[in-house]
Formats: sequence, structure tokens, C-alpha cells
Amino acid sequence: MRILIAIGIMVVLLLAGLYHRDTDPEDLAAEVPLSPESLLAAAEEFADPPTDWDYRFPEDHGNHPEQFGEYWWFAGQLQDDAGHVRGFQLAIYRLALSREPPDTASHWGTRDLYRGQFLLAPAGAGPTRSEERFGRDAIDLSGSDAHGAWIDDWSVKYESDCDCFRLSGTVSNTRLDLSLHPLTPTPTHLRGIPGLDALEPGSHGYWWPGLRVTGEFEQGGESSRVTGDAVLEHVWGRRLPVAQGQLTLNRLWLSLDDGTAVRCMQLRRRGSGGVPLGDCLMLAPDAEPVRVGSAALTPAETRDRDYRLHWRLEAEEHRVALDISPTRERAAPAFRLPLWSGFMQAEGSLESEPVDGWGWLELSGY
Amino acid sequence: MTRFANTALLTGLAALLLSACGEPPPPDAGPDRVTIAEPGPIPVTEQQPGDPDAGRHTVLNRGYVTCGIPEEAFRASDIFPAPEHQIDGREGRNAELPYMFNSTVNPDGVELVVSNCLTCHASEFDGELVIGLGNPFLDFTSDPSVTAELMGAFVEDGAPAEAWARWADRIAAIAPYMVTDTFGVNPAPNLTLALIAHRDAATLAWSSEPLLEPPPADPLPTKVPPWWRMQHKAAMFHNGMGRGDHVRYMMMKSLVCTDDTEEASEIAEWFTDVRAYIASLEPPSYPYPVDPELAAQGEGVFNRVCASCHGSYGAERDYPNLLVDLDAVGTDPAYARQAVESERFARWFNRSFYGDGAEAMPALGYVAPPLDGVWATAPYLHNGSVPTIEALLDSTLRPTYWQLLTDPREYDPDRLGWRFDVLESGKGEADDPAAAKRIYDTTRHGYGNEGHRFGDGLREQERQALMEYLKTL
Repeated sequence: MRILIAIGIMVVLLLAGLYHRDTDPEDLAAEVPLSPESLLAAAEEFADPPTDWDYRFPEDHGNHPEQFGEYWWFAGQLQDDAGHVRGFQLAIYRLALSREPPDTASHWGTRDLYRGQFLLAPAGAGPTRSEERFGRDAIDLSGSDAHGAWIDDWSVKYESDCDCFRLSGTVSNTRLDLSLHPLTPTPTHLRGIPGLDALEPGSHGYWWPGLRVTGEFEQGGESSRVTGDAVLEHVWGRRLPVAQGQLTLNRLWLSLDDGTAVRCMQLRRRGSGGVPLGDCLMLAPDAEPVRVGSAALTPAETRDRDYRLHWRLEAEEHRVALDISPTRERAAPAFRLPLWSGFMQAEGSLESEPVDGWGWLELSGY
Repeated sequence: MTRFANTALLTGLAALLLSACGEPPPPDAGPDRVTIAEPGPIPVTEQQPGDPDAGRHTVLNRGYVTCGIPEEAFRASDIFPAPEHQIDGREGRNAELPYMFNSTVNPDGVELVVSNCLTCHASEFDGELVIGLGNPFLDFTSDPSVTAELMGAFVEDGAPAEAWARWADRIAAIAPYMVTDTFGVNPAPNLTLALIAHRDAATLAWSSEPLLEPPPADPLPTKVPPWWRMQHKAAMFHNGMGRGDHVRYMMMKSLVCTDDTEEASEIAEWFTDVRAYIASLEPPSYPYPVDPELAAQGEGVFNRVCASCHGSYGAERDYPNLLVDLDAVGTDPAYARQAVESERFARWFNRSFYGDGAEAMPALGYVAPPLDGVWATAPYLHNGSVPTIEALLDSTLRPTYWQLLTDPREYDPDRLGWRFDVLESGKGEADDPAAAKRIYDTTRHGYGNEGHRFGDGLREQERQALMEYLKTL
């Protein structure tokens, strides 16, 4: 289904983003066959992934070049020694232009395009630092391999010596160097877009909440130790979720203080009404994930066109009722790809007990 | 998501049927009274004359369902099947669409792709599309609102978005009542009742909230009868509740989006010709060899065992249009009982625009249908619970659990039905939900394959002769 073919389609429609830094735009345009039609044609070169994915770790932490698109997505909450709390997000998306290596001898030859976004948001006062980058796999300025992906100094990789993920990068003169250690032996597998293509999934991947974070936060020449927790989502395939036409894409990840994690992916009509598509997964400690109906996640405000920043997750049968809102009201980041992405807080009840936590919300298509 | 499942979406829009009327109400009947029909012959009501050619043109080209997918969005997506059958008489954009869709333009100038009657009322036989043959291979097991909503991804702002939202909202409103748990069965009656529940009987205005208690969310299975029988039928639907002017039932497909009586009146005029077209259709001829001697023997068996209910098919044809009491026919009673127990829908119909000249009259029985072209109309009984005529005539051969073979679908001229697999267990034992949907489980409510055991007493030779004769009808 073309709607879901790849988030990269939308990314690359913003062709200007590819020209922003390191190359002469005309050279790149001459070498990279970019157009919506060529990208759809590229997508057609890739088959849908098999119905069932034979997960192998750590191999699946690395890239899947035989798949059309892919993303590594991290978000977390950090606290420094002074007690300052910040949220962060670093995501890198890959999109193939062809199944085959580039048909050119040039070192600028490109098979994969990349887009990344890095945000750092204080829970209290202070600006959100954000940056968007585009790149391609020529001369290794950007790329992905058996360990992860990178765009310049932004890097997300699995390292076997620590059995952990290393995340590093600089955004607006602030640098993070983090180690993220899984606390559970295996992640939760993701099969297709929940509620949409469970029978013939266009993608596979995994969601790994509850990563224990340690690392360094450096700003203005001063560094401090940070700790916290984070969530990872890594998905690959031919059909990845994308906002398009009348449908917005709303994605939410929550980490609650009782150890429960929530992941929601929802396509929802931009205007009022309609049937929300997608689903939420709820994962309690030492339990199997449970699916919560797509109708459980609703905007707590009625503005039709603006980003909906306040949400409620309520499902009586799962005894969950949470209000989710930004830690501070913030504007959308100034990305070429229009979206709102931000650090959230949640409070409410779960299993009749009060609960709160942090989260990350990403909205597009508004 | 498979194209197959996606097709089921608009499929839902297609199916529409309901119930009936015919005889004038008794003098003491008030406008709210619903008559429960008694078993026996159903009186014939003279139908309005119409132009069959104009009716065929309407079926194949006009927008009698007045909401749908903006054409640009339809084209931009790749979720609907490419046209496989060229049908004579498809004009303009219609000729570019799969046969189950027509093209129309809404009052805002948005070109729409809308479902048509052929979604349910056309089916392939040996690779040829047969108009009028009910399709037993449709898949209503997926939630159509998902695909309807997803189509919004291809819709631009403005008038196309409004057109899409109107259509998608209608689908969402009726989706809970049209998702079956079994491949191949048709939820049309329940879907129609859900639409009725949202409409004002006097004005046909749509209400986002139901105005009547909706039907059960678990639709009973029905089989789509062939159109070519209509010329011989006094009443529509398996329980014969569609009495009076057949136009008023046939046009109920417009219930999806027709929100006022002015538009309904225009469609009713079109459907006067559509009814004439449907009544002009003849069954296809049996495409395989027939043993004429054996068939002649079978005619004798038929006249002895079957004709009193199903009529005679010699030089002097006779169609009794007999409504048979549930106890007498013994087939699954759920469908007939539900129509009687939910008489609020019949009451709505009788009071509405659609009841002008027609009267829905539920009954605790089923009509013994005309059997022209019966060999083509597997599976059998009103709920499609018996896969072949062979099993219909010998109840010991009726499988409790079975599934149609679809890859490829293949007709079995020895058993007179589509090839199927007999299964050892039902849905509860299936490997996964997808496998469960493929299983016809006759132990489930409404899916029973009991009754109509009138062939059990035949000797095998008689049964074979009877089957040979049925090939000639």
C-alpha cells in the first residue's frame, strides 16, 4: 500500500534537505535520481518482508539493507548530578534508492539516503535544542552497518562488548555520550503496523523500553554525568507509517514509574471524527505486552488543525487512565519535515494505583 | 493487508437486501403494524414495467450509491484490483474501473468511485464474469472502516476531503454490523438494518447516532441468490419478506448515502428499469456434458420429490413461491426468527419512502426458491451452509466443518458445487485467526446445515439422476 511504503518518501519529497551541507546540489541532483516517481519505483524493487521474521540478536540491531526503509529511534529521560531533568530524542531514518549499489564510479554514488533528528528538551525552563540532518551513504559521511547508523557525528550503535547501545551526538553545541543497557533479555517484537497489516506485515522490528542510561552531558565546555532511562524502537520494511493526505500520524511512548511502558502508533483524521487506526501496546514488568484498542488514545483538545499536544490514554478493560501533556508548551522544531516532537509527562492511574511517568510524543501530518 | 481483504471493504457497500411486503395490510392494520406472514403460497404482485436496457445501463454506469472514494484517491492508491473483465456497455470512466465500481460526480463536482450492485451480484464461473450470479467468494471478515479511513491518505483538502469523510463516516457507522467471522458468507441483511437504524423513516435524513436499536453486531450468514430467479419470484429474500414493489428493495443499496426522499425518488425511477433488467436475465447454460437419458429419469424424480415446493420446469413452467414453515423445512431458523423478532426494522421500512408500494412482512419460514440455474449457485441453503447439491440431497455428506478452495476456485461437476475441503475441527481449533476465518463451522449460531432432508430417502441412482436433471435447469 503506497500510503505506508516508507516514511522516506515523504522525507525525500523535501529534496532541499539533501542539499543543505556537504555537496554541490547540482552534482547531487545529477547523480541521485530523486523524484516521487523514482522513489516509488525503488520501493517496488523491494518485496515486502516475510510474514514471520526470524529475529536474531545482535544481528537485527544492525542495518537491513535488503529492506527498503528502516529507522533507529531513541528517546529518554536524563537527570544530571544537579538534579536537572531533560528529555532527548535521536532518530535516524534510512531509505534505499535502489536494491543495487549505485551505478557510478563516483565516490558520491549513493544507494541509501538518511535523515536524522536530534532534540534535547529540559523539563523545566529553557529552550529545546533541535537539529535535523539529511545525508547519504557516499564516502561514509552517513551510513549504516551491522551495528547501527550514523549521520556525521550522530551515531546509534550496538556494542557487543558491553551488550549495550552507544548513542552520541551534538545538537546546538550540546553533546551527549550515552550508554543504554537493556534490563530485559529481549525486546518486544513489532509486526507490521498494529491493527493495520498484522496478517501481511509490511515491516518488522522491535520496541525495547526500560533501557538504563548512563553517560555524559556536555554543554559550554562543562560536562556532567547523567543517568536515566530510555526507549529504543528499530523497524525495517517496505511499508512504514507515514502521515499523508487527511491522516495524521501520532506516536507516543511512555515510561511509567511502576515500570510499565506504553507504545502507541495511531493514524487519525486531521479534522474531527473518523476511526483512529493503529494500536497501543502496554508492557508491564515481567509480563507479556497487551494490545489496547486504537480508540484508547484520544486527543484531550479539539483543535482540528493545530498539533494536538494533550492526550488521554484510557481503557477500562486494562484499568488504565492517563493524561499526557508536554512538560512545557513548546513550538514545533524548525525542521524541513514538518512535525512536532517533544518531551511529555504522564499522570493518572494504572490498576487502580496512582502512577506517573515521562514520555515522548511525535506528531506529523497536521 | 491483502487486496482481497481490502476489496471486502467496498464489498460491504454493495450488498443490500432486506425484507418485504406485498399484500395490502388488513383493514384494521395501523401504520405501525407489522404483519407476520403465514406459510403458504406468496401472492404475486404485478411489478412496474421498465426498460431492461436502460436498467442494465444504470447498473453498469450510474451512481446509485451517492458517496464513495474521490477518484483521484482511488487511482493514487494501489489497494483495489485492476479491471479484469471488460463488460459491454461500460461507458466513460466506468470502463476503466473494476466491475464492482461505478463512477459518479457529487454536487460539489468531485468525481467519485462508488460501489455498484455487481460486488455481490456478479461472480466468475470458469473465468467468465456472470452478471447476476451471487458471489460466494467475497470476504467480509475484515473491518471495512480501516480501509475506508486509510483512503484518506490519498485525499486532498477541500471538497474531496469532505466527500471522503462523508463516505468513510458511513462505513464506520455500519462496519460493526457487517464484519462476518467466515469467508464467503454475506452480511447484507444486517448491513441494511444498520443503515436503517441511522435514518429517519420520514425524511431519510442520516443521524450519526442510531435512531433505532441497531441490529446485532454479529451478522447472520446469508447467501446471495441469483438475479435470474427474480422474474419468477413473488417476493424477495430468503424468508419472502420482500413483498410488493421489488424496486423498493432493490434500490436499498442507496441507503448508504441517500439522505433525502428527492434523491431517493430519482433512484427509484432508475431502478424501475433496473428491476426490469434483472427480471430479464436468464440463467447460464450448464457448461459441461449432460447425460440426457439420466436427466430424463431425474425429471421424474424431481417431479415426484421436489416439484411441489420448487415448481416444475417442463413445457409448462410453474413456480409455486411457497413459503415453507420452519418446522417443515427444518433449516437453520436463526435468519427467519431474527427478522420476526426485530420487527422494528420492518416497521421502519413500511413507514418510509421505501415502503411506498411495498410492505416488509417477516415470516417464520423460508421460500422454496425457483431452481433455474441451480447448479451454478453453490453453496446451498439460505446461509450457504451446504457446499454442493450432492450434499444437499444426501445429508450424510454434509460436512460439519469445511472451507472453500480458492487457489484456484474450481467447479466440481460431479458434486455440483465449488471444490472444498472437509475439516476435522471448527474455528476454535484453528491455527490462527486467519485460518479460522476460512472455516465454515456449521455448529455456530445461524450457520447450521440441518434440514431440507428431502433427498435422503432417494436411492443413489435416483439421486444421480436428479442431479443430472438439475444441470438442465
